[in-house]
Amino acid sequence: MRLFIHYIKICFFVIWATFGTGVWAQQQTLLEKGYEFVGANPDEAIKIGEHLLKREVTESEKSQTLLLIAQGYYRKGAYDHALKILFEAGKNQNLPWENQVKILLLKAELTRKLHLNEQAEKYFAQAGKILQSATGEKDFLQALFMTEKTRRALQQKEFKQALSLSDSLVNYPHIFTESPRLYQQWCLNRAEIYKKIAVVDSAVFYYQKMLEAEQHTPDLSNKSMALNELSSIYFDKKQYEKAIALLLQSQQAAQKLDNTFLLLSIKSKMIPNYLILKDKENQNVAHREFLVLKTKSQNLENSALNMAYNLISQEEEEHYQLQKNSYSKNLRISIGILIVMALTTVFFFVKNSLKLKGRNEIIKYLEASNNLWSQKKKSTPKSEISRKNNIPTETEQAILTKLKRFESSVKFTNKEMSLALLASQFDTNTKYLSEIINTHYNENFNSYINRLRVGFIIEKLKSDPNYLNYKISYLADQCGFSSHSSFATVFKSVTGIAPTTFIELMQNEQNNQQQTL
Amino acid sequence: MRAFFRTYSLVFITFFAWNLGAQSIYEAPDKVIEKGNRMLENPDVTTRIEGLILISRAYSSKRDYQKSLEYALEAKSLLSKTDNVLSYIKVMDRIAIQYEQLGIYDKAFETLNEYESLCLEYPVADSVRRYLGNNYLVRGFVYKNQLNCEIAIGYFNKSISEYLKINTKQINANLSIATYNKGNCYIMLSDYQEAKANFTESADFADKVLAKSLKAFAYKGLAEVYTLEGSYTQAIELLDHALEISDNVGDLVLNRGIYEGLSQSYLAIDNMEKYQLYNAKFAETQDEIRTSERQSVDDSIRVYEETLQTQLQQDKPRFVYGVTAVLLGCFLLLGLIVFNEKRTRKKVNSLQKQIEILQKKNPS
Repeated sequence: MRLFIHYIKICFFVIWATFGTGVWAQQQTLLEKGYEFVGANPDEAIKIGEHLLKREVTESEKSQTLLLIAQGYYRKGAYDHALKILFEAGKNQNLPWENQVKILLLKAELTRKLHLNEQAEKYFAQAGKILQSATGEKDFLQALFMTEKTRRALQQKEFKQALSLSDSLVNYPHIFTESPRLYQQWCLNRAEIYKKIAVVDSAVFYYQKMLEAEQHTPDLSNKSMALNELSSIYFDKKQYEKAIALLLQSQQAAQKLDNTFLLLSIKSKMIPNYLILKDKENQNVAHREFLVLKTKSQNLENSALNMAYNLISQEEEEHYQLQKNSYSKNLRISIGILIVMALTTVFFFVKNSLKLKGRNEIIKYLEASNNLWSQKKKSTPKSEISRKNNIPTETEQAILTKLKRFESSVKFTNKEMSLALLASQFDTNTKYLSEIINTHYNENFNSYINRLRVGFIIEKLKSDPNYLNYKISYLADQCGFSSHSSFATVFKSVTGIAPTTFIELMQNEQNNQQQTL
Repeated sequence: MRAFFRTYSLVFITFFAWNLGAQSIYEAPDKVIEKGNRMLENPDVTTRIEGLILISRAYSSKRDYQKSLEYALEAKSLLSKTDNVLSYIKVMDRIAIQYEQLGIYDKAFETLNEYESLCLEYPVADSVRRYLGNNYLVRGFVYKNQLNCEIAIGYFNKSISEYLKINTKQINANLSIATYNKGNCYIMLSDYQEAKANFTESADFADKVLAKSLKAFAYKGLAEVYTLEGSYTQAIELLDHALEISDNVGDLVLNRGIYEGLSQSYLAIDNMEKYQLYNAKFAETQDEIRTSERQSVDDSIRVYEETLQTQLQQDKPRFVYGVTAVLLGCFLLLGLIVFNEKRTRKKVNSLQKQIEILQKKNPS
């Protein structure tokens, strides 16, 4: 009847939560209800959990929901399912510490139940570590931690230690009020300790306390265990009928949970009672059921063990990959730094070479605008070589004088100007003229003319600011070049800088001068 | 997915691994593995396959069913290099047993079906009869584990009829196992007469091959039926006898069964003292079995963790050297930048001086 009322309550809450409130509030309420009902009806709690998972939930809510489902399966004795869900819940490394501790403690409990002691120890220690370093309200989790510690001591047959651990939990009465299920656990543990150390009356007292508490907060698993254990006390007291009655009650709860392990334990206790009562019929039925349950539980346990092995291995593998990834991340970061460094180096090299180039251009410009280049050329007359030539000195002098005159004129801007034309204008032959230009200017006729033309245009640019605004093709035309490109090439080869750069520098210089003025 | 933990009696595993050297597989599996490894160096493929089968059996007796399966599957991969059908059957027999022990029943059936037809088609039926018998026996085990006892009994019968056609002394061990399991199925079906008959047969077969442990198992089964029938004194007699023979065997699963039977029977005859004694022994053996089994799982996990740690330690230097080399490169580039910057500054200074000189000469 009690369970029926609970079932109705669950249905009511699901309907209310679905239609009644806002999404967030709905989820929280459903989850809370799920936890409330997990003891009385784990199947329903699992359903609620699965329903919640279909909605959009935060990582923290998801882990809490998975934990609820895992607890549901755990109560049903489906350890393999519980483990699978639990490990999924624990996958997220960034969960709030409270959730992490809860997950680790349930992992410790499940692996302990499977007698995987080393693993249980590992998870228990991890939970303890997080709990120790955590700040904030942690009484409930501390109590949960101590409860698991008590169970461990019990399993290791350290009854004295278990009792003192159980005693220490008395310091958390408010937790027991808030979490009646934890109180039931405490009663169960305490009763078991007393049973083990043969303080039978205390054991009975705590089993009864636990059963009383279960009346208010139904938990079939706890109830079944308490009745089961209580029955063996009555067996020892030779009250076999009473023992059987308790076992039947315990079986009823275990059947509702469909928990094979609990049922197996109950059956194994029923057989001796029937044996001693010489109730052969019931004994044989129990024995037959016991054999079936034994095979079932072995299969379930093997499946849970294999699941545990695979999940723990996977977890280890993921942990290994995570560490390996962190190493390769460091490597990638340093390679990134190297690339940035390489780019910076290139940047500095380019910046510096541009700086130098700019300075060199200014020098070239200044040299060009000072006509230093022409002086340089003239400063190396090769008179000795001319001696070796067969040109008469008078002719040579006459030609040199004509050349001087020619240089100060603008005849060289004539596009038709050639060696032959100039020779005819000088009344000499091309051979003499070429020879003299070669020896006295240390360059051939073309270079000589180009130099004069470039010098001419530089003078124009300097003397007439309007020239700075003219197009390059106009400037080329002015100084005797037929094309824009040949002018640019020649200008660059003579001055070392492009005509555009030259003009730019000259404009800058003029602007500077204007500003200073 | 890895799966390898099932509670099995060592005696069963041993007799399942029945072949030449079966006893040494049970007593010193590591030596058998060594022998198998030596066989792997042989150029003859058939010998290499035999070697792998031997190693697989040895691992099975060490309860490392996964490793055992791995070697059996390796033997299977060698089968393409030979057209020896007998080798094929032997390998498939091994694989099927392993899948059954691992609880991977679908794979077990697949393998069993594959080599059953080969056995049936094999020209010299006598030389494969044992494997055909094993085939039906394994099927029986699978059905029994799935709680389908009626079907299991059918296969046990088929298996027994094949074994009976073999005229070797050793086949009696297999017959004893088959009849013992059949007996257990009859208990489940509450057919105590049939159960008793089968356990008695199982004990007789065990006697023929002088397999004390198998005889003890048969007695334990028989005693279970007597307990169910209410013949507690007879049950105790049989169990005491079983305990006596099993003393030298040291099979915990067998002992657990005997202690459980004794505790129940003594309880039934109101001998509380003996009940307490054997009940405690039963609980103790139960714990011992569980501890040793679970320890092996814990060990496997630890070994795996250690392997990963070693791998990580091996991987680490590669990354550390990589990072160091890259950082060194960074410093080198930094040096280059500083050097270039200094040189440029020097050059710029000298060029600037040149510019200043030129500017002074510049008439403008």
